[in-house]
Parts: sequence; C-alpha cells; structure tokens
Amino acid sequence: MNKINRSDIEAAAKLSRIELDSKNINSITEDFGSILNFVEIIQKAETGGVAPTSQVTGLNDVWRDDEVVKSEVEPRVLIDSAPETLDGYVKVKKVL
Amino acid sequence: MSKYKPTIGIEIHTQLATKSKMFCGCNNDSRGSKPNSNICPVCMALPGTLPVINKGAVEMAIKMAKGFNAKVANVTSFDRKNYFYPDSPKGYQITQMYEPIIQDGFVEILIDKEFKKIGIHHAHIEEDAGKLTHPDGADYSLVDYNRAGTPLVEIVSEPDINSPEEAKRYLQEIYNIVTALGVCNGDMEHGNFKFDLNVSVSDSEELGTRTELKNLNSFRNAERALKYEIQRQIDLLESGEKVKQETRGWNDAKSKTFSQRSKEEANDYRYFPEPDIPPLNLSNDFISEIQKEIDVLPSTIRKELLEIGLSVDDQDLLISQPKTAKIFQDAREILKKEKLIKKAVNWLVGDFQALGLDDRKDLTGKNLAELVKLIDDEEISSKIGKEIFAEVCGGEAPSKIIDDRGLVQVSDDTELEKIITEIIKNNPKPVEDYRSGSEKVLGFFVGQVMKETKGQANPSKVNELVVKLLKG
Amino acid sequence: MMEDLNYLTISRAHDLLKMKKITAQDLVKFYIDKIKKNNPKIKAVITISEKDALKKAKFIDSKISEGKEIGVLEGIPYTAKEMFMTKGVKTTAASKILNDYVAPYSATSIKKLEEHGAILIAKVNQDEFAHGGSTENSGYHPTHNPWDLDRVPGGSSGGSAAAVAADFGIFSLGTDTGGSIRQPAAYCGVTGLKPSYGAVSRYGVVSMASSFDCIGPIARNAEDAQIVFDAIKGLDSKDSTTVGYDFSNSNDETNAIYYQVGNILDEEISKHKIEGINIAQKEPVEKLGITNEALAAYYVLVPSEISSNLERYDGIRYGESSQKASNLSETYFKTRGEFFGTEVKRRNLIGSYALSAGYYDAYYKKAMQVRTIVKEKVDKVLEKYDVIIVPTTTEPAFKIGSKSDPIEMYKTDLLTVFVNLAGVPSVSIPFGIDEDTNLPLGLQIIGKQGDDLKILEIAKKIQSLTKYHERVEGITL
Repeated sequence: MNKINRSDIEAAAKLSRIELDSKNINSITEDFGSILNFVEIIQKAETGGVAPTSQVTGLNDVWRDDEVVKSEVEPRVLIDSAPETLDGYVKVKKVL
Repeated sequence: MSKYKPTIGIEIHTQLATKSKMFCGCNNDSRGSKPNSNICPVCMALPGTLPVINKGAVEMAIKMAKGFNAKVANVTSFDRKNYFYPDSPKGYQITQMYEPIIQDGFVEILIDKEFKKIGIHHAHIEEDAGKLTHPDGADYSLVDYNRAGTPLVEIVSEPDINSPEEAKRYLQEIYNIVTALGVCNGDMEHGNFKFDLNVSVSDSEELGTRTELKNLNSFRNAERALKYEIQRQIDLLESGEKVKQETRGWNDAKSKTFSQRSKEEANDYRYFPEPDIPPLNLSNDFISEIQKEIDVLPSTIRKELLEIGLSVDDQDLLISQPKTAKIFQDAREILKKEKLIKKAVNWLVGDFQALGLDDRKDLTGKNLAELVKLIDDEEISSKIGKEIFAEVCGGEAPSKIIDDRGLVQVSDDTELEKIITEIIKNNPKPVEDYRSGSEKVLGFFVGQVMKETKGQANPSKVNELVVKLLKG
Repeated sequence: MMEDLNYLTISRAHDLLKMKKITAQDLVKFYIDKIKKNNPKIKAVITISEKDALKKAKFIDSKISEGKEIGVLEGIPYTAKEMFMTKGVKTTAASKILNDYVAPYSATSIKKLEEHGAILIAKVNQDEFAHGGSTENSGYHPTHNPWDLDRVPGGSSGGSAAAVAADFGIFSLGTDTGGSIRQPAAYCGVTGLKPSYGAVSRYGVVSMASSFDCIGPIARNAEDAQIVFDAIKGLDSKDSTTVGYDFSNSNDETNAIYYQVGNILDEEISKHKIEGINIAQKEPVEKLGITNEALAAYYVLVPSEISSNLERYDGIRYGESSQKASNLSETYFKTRGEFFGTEVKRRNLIGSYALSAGYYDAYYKKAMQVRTIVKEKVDKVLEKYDVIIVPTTTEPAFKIGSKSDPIEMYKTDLLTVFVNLAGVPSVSIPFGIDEDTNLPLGLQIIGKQGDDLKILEIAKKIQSLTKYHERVEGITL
C-alpha cells in the first residue's frame, strides 16, 4: 500500500505549479493513493534486462536541413495573443 | 601557495552558428532585430506545435567532438528538462540528459610550457531560452523570445582544473576550438559563449563543498571570480566555518561573488525522454564524412607554433584568429623550412595585425609564402616587402606587384659599382674620413646608395662593394 | 428537398452532389439546422462555423455548376474535436484555460481535409485536454449520448461520436490516446479508427501524451473512415514522429484470434460467418495477459507526458491568466489552479510525482519497460494472426455521474489502452446491441503496425454483412 500524505500532494502540486484549495488537496490525496495502488501492478512485472520503450515508431534521424523558413504566422499575431504586452515584448510580473 | 587545492569544473554554453533555430525554421541571428520578430508557432510553444531537429546543429556538434578529441555517440537522443520560467515557452527545455551526442573527450592547455589534459565529460545539444529584461524600478519584466530555441552545445568538463589560470586557459582553448571550427561565432557580448564555474577547495584528498558561479561571459572575469571565490572559501575554512553549497553570481563592479540560490531551493527538473523526437542513429561513415571537412584544429597549430619557438602570446594570437591560422597553415605547407615559416609567422603577428580587418581579409597563405621567399632569395629587400605588404593583404600576388612596378632588387655589380663610384666622386670629405680610419662613415655611403636605388639595392651587396671601392 | 438527407454516408452525399440532387450549401445548412435544433439536448457542439462553412460550400457549388469534377470529400460537412487547431475558429481543448482561444494556424489534418474540400461546420466537445472517458470532464458541459440522454457518449472524443450518431455532420475528427476514439464510437454505435501511431500527423493537435496520441476519424461506417484516413494520413515534415507506412493491403484470407470478454458479443461472433475471415482461435482476454499491466503502465506514462505537455499553459503567452495573481509565482499557481479542471489537476500531479527525483525509476522507467513487454506480446500475437478481435468495452455506455471514482473511469479503457502502448491500429465498429439496455456495443479489429487498410477492409466486410452500423432507430432524437 502506498502511503500518500498531504505533503506529497503539496510537493507534486508545487512541481506542477497548481494551486489547490484544501478541499482539492483532501480529495486528491485520497484519489492519489488509490491510483498509485492501482498502478502498483507494474512493480510485479519482471523487467530485468528489458529496454524501456519511449516511442514506438522505430524511426531514426528525422531532421530538417538548416534553412531559415518564414513563420506561417506573423510574429506580431503571436505576441498579440499574450494577456499582457508592452512595446512588442511579452509582459510578466516581475521576475525576482 | 596555500595548503588548499582548488578543484574546478566548468560548464560552457556555446551558441551554434546555424542559420535557423534548433527545432524550427526561425532565423537564428537576431542581432539588431526587433524584440519578438524572429518567432513562430513552434518556438512560441503554441498548442499543437512540435519540434523538428536542425540537422546543421547536429553536424556542428559532430565537428566539435573532433575538436575535443571526443567520441560521437552512435545512438543519441533528446530529453525534456521541465521547469516553469517566463523565458521558457514550452515549460520545458529540450536537452540531452541520458545520451549526449559528445562523450568522453579532452583538450590540452599549455601551463608553464607543459601541456595539461583537461577531460571533457560530455557535451550535449540543447535549446536556449528567451531573454528577460527588468526595467529599472518597474514591477514587471519583459520577455523577448527571439533567442528561444537557439541551438546550444553545453560542454561539461571533468573537475580537472586546479587554478584560475588553468580555468582561463581552458576557456580560451575551448573558445579557440569552437570558433576555429566555425560552429560558434564567438560573439561574447551577445552571449555566444557563456559559462558556469563549479569550484571547491580542500586540504585533503577529499573534495570540499562546491559553489557554482553562474553566467559569466568573459575570460578575465572568470579568472577574477575564481580567485575571489577560492580565497573566500579558504577564509571560511580557516576561520572554522563551512562552505555552503549554493549558486553564486559575480558582481563585476564590486569584484565580489554573491549568494543567489541555496541547494535546498534547487529545482526538480523531472527529466524524461522527449517523445516528440525520435533518437539519432549516427553511423561512423556519416560522422567521418562530416569530420573530414575540418581543416586543422587549434591544438595542432599550437603544437606547430610551439615547435618553431613562438611565444605563448603569439600562439594565442594566431589560434584565436581562425582565418589567420589558416593563412599560416597554407604558408607553412609551401615554405616547409622552419626559418622561413618563422618569418611568415612574424608577418602575421606583426604587420598583419596592424591592418584593419577589412584591409587584410584577402591575404592568402600562398601570397604570404611568396613574399617570404622573395625576400629570402634577395629578389626584393625587406624594406620593399614592408612597403608592398598592405597590397599583398589586399589580395595581390607579390610577384605581380614587383613586376608591375619594377621593384626587383638591384644586385648587379656593374650597375651598383657605377652608382657607388658616382657617390664617392661627389663626396670627397667622407671618403677622406674613411680613408683616415673612420669606419662609421660606411653607413653614410650605404644609405646614399639605397636612396639612389629607391631601396631596391641588396644591402649586403652594397656594403661589400662600398668597402671594395673606397679601399680601391 | 426531395432527398432524405438523414444519415448520409460520404459516398452517398458525394453522389447527390455530383448528380446535382443537392448543393453543398444545402448540405451545410441541413447539418447546421440539425445542430441548432438538437444540440441543446446532446450538447456535442461547442462552436458552429456557419459563415465560413457556407462560403466554402458556395465555392464548391460553383465548381459543380461549372461542370468540374469534384473529389469524394468535396463539400462533405464534418466536425472536429476541440483538440484540433482550426485557424479562425475557436479551439479550447474543452478547457477554461483556453477559453476563447482562436488558433492562428490549422492542424495538418485539418489543412489536408480542407485541401480535399471537406467543410468544417463545427468544433465538438470532449473531456478537458482529452483527460477522461465520458466527456463529463469537459470544462464546459457534459455531452449526452444520442441513444440515451441520461448516458455518457464516452470519451474523450465523446463530442465527435455523439455528433456522428446525432447526424451533426457526416464524420468527425477525434484523437485517441488510450481509447478516446474507439470507446465513444462503441458507446454511440458508430465506427472509429485509431490509426497506427505516426500514420497521421499530430501537428496542430493539442498534445496529451505525445508517444500515444493518434488522430483518426469517427464515421458512419468503415468505408467513410477509410476515405477520411486516406485524406489525412502520411508523412509530415512538421511532425518528426510521422511514419511513412506502406499501406498496401492484400486481400488474402484473414486469420484472426478472438479474445472473449465474459460473454459479451460471444453469441454475435458465432452467429456471423464472414467470408474471408477465419477466427482461428478463441481465448479469454486474460490469456493475452497484458490488459491490466498495460492499463497500469498507461496511467503512469500518460500522466507523466501530460504533466510536461501542459506546462505551456501558464497564462503568459496565450490563453487565460489569473486576475488574482499579485506576483509571477502566483501567475503560474493561480492560473493553473483556477482554469484547470479536477481531472487535469489530478493527472498533472500524478505525472509530476512519477517523474520526480527518487520516483522516476520505480514508476516512469518501470512503466516504459512494461510498455516494451506489452508491445512485444501484442506484436507476437500479431505475428501468428493477422488480426486480434476483441470487444471495445466491457459494457455499454454508462449513466452520467455514475463513475465518480477516477479508477472506475480509468477501467473503461481496459480493452483499448494496450493497443496504444503497442502503437498498432485498431478500428471499432458497432457490433451487437446490449440486451439489458438496448444500447450499442463495439468490436475492435486490431492489426499490425501499418495494417490500417487491412483492418478497415475487414471492418467493411463485417459491416456489409451485419449492418449494425445502419441501426439508428435506437437514437432518441
């Protein structure tokens, strides 16, 4: 059984940059434990010497030539979608 | 030297001189561009966009491997480093955590006339972030994403460096290699070449606690920051305190390092294999095909310069100018004899340096060799050589210049004798002085002959004939 | 209009257009009217693109009236899941964080359909960021199953399946990461193709779990699915994981292995003898021996990729940004706290946890190894047999609100996720009707990687015989 407590959830929420209210934390803590138990079955799998699979295409060396290609979208449009901008920059709250 | 031995490891970020960015087709050179003008859906991480590797960047890394005497991994892949920051559009950086492209190399640095090997643990390809600015007094920061996605190679040394001087020489050596290979523009002001220094001190075999000096971009500051930091750590230990593992910055104005972030605040980057990019499977043929294009490495040139006894400063000068080094290489091929090669080098570290970059850009090794030979064969005087050097640097062949202008050295005895006889006739007083034992007037006669021949006379010949005729 | 336009297939609509029995504008209007009338009950559609659709239809009509040839997809109205970037038409991924987001570019698959002349009429609902199996997790509203409005249409492409079942357009584009095309197709009595991984470009489709995500059609029948697949498949220089499969298909006798799940569909399977398809072996699904492991590995790997793929939704360059943030850190925490739904938060947290220092080897790496084992087993079975046949789900569509426990919801993917772990293609076709509920059930035909056309051919053969796909009388509209 996986013992998951509030602090584990808070740590994961911090990594994910997600604010949780206390109601959220309680319900997620509960779910989290049961999800981890649910996926526990993989621990029983005999994986000695088994290579991990991160993709299933079998592809290699997929690349493009080093050439400048004009953006399909005007740079201006890409900036205009930002919640806050200033003089062509994307504006954010002060980085400390 | 104190009983404490410093141990230094260096991570260098070199921006690759590709035309386009690492994972999209945006222009990789944003110098002089407006903010956020070299961006596209991919480098702005719009929903649904995907990265595609720039083959040119991979080729440059393969060249670098040769420069670092390193192995190119046949199978290499990309990973994600997850962190939130406004300059990181995707919320992760694509890098190489598990299978870096360059592995297990070294460079040699010259310390006290001895070569010292500095190991390179590995070097990997990754993408740069955007640029943040923090206007004075404002409660906001501004982001320019032009640099986001610029290809970088991060070069991670072994902790083989034991002094600020070694660190500086290592940095210069790497800089020389990447610029000589043409894979990095080396524009340090624009952040083409930045580094983090890990340093610890210890009075035993066991390594001390290290601090990391982040984001330096000048060789001089690296040396100064290390000197300061080493002394700071020694002082701490001497006073019975402990060195704290942390990230520190360098304040140039105050000439001090300062604490930025402690280890406890370090991020958990949650690396995992990048699922959007299939791995690279680089065959040895492919690798050698690319490495074949490399002319000569700085380390080879340094050894050649060392052999002919050139000073370290002059070695550095030549090596730091890849194009000049190439001229040297070509001239050396032609000249072969050490005496002549040295003369070619003298031109390159001397008169050549005095010319503006634009004025000297057309000098070839072949023309330089020709010039050296013409002087050595006494076809022209070295004075004439100096006079025509600027033109040679403009691309003209020396032989053509002297032909066109009739500058061939006068060594013909009859012609010279005629001139000297005339001078003796017109200068009875010095002649008398000479004959009464004043050797120093000899210079006067030689000078007169050179004047008369506009410098084209062979000086030793002139000397010989003047003496002969005066004694006459 | 004399023609009955209800439940048209692509080829039927194409014939009507060619014969000038109808105009493309008629078709577009027909579907949009139908959406306007019935969507309040089904809630499959999020945005209707009426003006643009009519403009395109008008262009095609003028082509037809000039006597020009038209392609089979020209003038065919379709819908697309909210995951697809559609230039000028809102794309939300059914998340509040992309509320009102209008993409400045279109997905490769959308562009390809546009080049073929198909007409996008609406964007349809889904679970937020495709996290779910019922479309109840939409940031906007749940979608209802046209067969029974109290039931879910499945998910995450529930809007697509419901739209096809409710006849809101002739086909729909969906995405399938662990069953998100096939399970809703089964629940809604329509045909859904999850192509081989890499057969269709993912460029321009919101990434859920990059190494699993597949783009495919949900359609009236396998023939339509094939027409759409033909149009959207192929290498894309913008997606490095597209594979240039050789889709040639032989018409030989097919040897199949059938995996039984309880007694679902058992009787149906024995009832139909389909020419050219030989069910060489019948075995309980447990004998495959990987479904549970696959599901567990899936719920480690997928949340991990999700946690990374969703990091770009940070309130800085596009999308919603919290108004309550008073510093940069709060911009992240509050934006993502406010605008992500519960399931999205849950998966982000699980993913961050599984990838974090100290847990990576035990969870992520281990799950990648289990993935290898699953893929090897599936591939091995497919060496022996041409196709695997297995029910799509263990039960028909369930009642809205009945699966509040996330694990219960995850288990609805039991028979579909192993297919995504292996990257092989699978088509779900309507097959049989559940006696207790009178709801449709689905059957999957799973082939080797690159055998997409083969499984579609088999599906077509089955459909020509069973006609389950033509049953619409159970649809309560």
